[in-house]
Amino acid sequence: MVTILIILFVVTLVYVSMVDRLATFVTILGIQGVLLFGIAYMELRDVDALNLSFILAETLVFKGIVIPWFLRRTLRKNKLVKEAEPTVTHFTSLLFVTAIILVSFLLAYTVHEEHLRIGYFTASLSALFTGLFIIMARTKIITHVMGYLLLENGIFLLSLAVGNEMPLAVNTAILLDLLTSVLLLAFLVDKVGESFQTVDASELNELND
Amino acid sequence: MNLSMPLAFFAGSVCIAGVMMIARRRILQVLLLVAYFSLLGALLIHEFTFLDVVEAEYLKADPLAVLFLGVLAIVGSLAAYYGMAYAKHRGDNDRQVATHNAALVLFLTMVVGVYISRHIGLVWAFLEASTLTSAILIYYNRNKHSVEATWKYVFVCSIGIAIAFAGILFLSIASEAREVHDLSFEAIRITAPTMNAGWLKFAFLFMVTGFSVKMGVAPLFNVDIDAKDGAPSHVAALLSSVLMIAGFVAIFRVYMALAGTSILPWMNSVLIIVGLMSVFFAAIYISKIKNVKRILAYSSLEHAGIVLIAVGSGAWFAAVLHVILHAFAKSSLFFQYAHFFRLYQSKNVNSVGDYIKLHPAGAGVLILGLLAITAVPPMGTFITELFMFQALFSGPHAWVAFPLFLLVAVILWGLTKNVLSILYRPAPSAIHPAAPFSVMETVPQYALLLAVVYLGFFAPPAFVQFVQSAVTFHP
Repeated sequence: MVTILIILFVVTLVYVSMVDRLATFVTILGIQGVLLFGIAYMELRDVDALNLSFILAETLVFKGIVIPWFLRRTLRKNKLVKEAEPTVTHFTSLLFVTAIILVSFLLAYTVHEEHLRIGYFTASLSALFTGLFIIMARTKIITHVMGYLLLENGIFLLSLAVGNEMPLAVNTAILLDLLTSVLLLAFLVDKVGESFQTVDASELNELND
Repeated sequence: MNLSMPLAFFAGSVCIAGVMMIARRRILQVLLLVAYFSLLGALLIHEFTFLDVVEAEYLKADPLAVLFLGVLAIVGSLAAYYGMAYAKHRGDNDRQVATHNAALVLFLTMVVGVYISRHIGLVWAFLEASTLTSAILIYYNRNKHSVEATWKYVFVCSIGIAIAFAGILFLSIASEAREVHDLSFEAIRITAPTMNAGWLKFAFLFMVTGFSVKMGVAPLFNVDIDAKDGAPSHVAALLSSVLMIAGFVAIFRVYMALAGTSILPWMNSVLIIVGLMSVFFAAIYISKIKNVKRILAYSSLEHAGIVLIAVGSGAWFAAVLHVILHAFAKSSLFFQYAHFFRLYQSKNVNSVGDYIKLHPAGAGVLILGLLAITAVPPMGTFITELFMFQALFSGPHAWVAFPLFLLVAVILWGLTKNVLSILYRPAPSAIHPAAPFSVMETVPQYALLLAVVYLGFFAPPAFVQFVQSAVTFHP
């Protein structure tokens, strides 16, 4: 069952490479949040209740609901519909992401570490690199935020793959930071839109040497 | 004595920041800032008294933390003072000032957290929190420049810190394999020699890359330059001092935790390469650009690079002392930059001049500051750089000293050329000859620079011993 969820997660990455409409991208991020919830729930059923509820809140509530809602609001406010001119075509993106997944898979197979599960490791590395790829290949800064969220999801999976539980105090701090950083980034997208009348990263060149 | 003093400090800071947002009258703001720095002073005295005592499970102030807490208290309080002067001069409204002060208090508190955490995850969390609070400080002017700088800074810092988190996870893969579930620096130091070296290398590389954006070194230094350019000068001073130290603390603690393993020579090479790259970029830009604020920012890049080279060549004492001296020198210069900009309303070297006549006291700071950041005696930075070169020559990376020497010379030339131009070139006629500066405003800047001389050449033995103990292993 966990394997199915992980495969679904990887499929969403492939889908992300082809979407054009930003709203769809947000929906996918929401779906990923729910998938991560499922994976974390099955994986961590035996950890103590407080830690478990904590992780569930992080995935289902924040990644699944709060962040997508906030991103939608930002999209509406800035009247953003599509990634206007993707510098990389959909087909190339698809090729890239597929290659990323393949390489991650091979990488995961070559490291021999009994404590590490290959499925998780593949999915997490794929998400990490897909996030970085999206940030580099797309022009709108809101898409950059979404790429960052993909990267974050990858790191969340990696932390499941490792299985090392951070102490609760540390976990709380990390979760708070992540949530605030996403809200702050979305807020800044608004501000950039107001000041520059555009949210193209290439237009952000007021500061130079 | 109550041992949960750090927790009381965190709670008190949050309360003070909260009250600041409500009580916006200028006099109340000043009182609250005084209250905050008194609290910080109390924490400093407490930590000095209870050295190396674990508090609240995850906090511990070792000599390194106490040293840096001292720097933070000095530079932080001066930044608060110059921040109020900046707001008063520009006539900013009470709300803007209150938000800024509250963010300042929270920012400094988060950096304190970085210094005194003994758990790698907590260091990470405090670093990220310092990014978020510094965003409000950088955003202060609410214009195009500050929006752009804030966006780039927060975004790249978030990416960087995410990469660093992956590094932490790699480290925990290595420690899980040894059935160790504790990621405190002490625990890592004890078990690291038995861990898989491959994972440790991965972990170190990712963490250095991620924390580089906080320390302001290569590879992710660009946004630091932009942030210092877009932020008010007293905030730039904080970014160049206490935040650079925070990044350094994160890298240095990881380095020290892994220093007992077989990957030590490899880590040294990584740090030296990163440092040399930083100095290289700094040299290129400093000899080319004309924006005074960015020149100062690139000089911070140079010094951060030098600090890492010192760590990598084994001159740990010099590294720690250098990062402190640089914090004093560079914040003094950034504080002075506020006067400079108030006078000329321009950042460009080509459209200013005659500083020595228009603002003699400020020109003095500029000259002494130049000596400090180019490591010319009697500045203490000369001593630390000398130690660094000595260690470099006697180590396996002696060849690095030659390109490094060349690059430092290029930087010396670039900085001197620009400062002389600011001081002596005929000023454009539009500048008022009588500058409205009180000499009092420059006194703290001179004091900081005097500290650079004092700590380098006349440091009391107790201080030297304390720095020495900060760079030796603690059980």
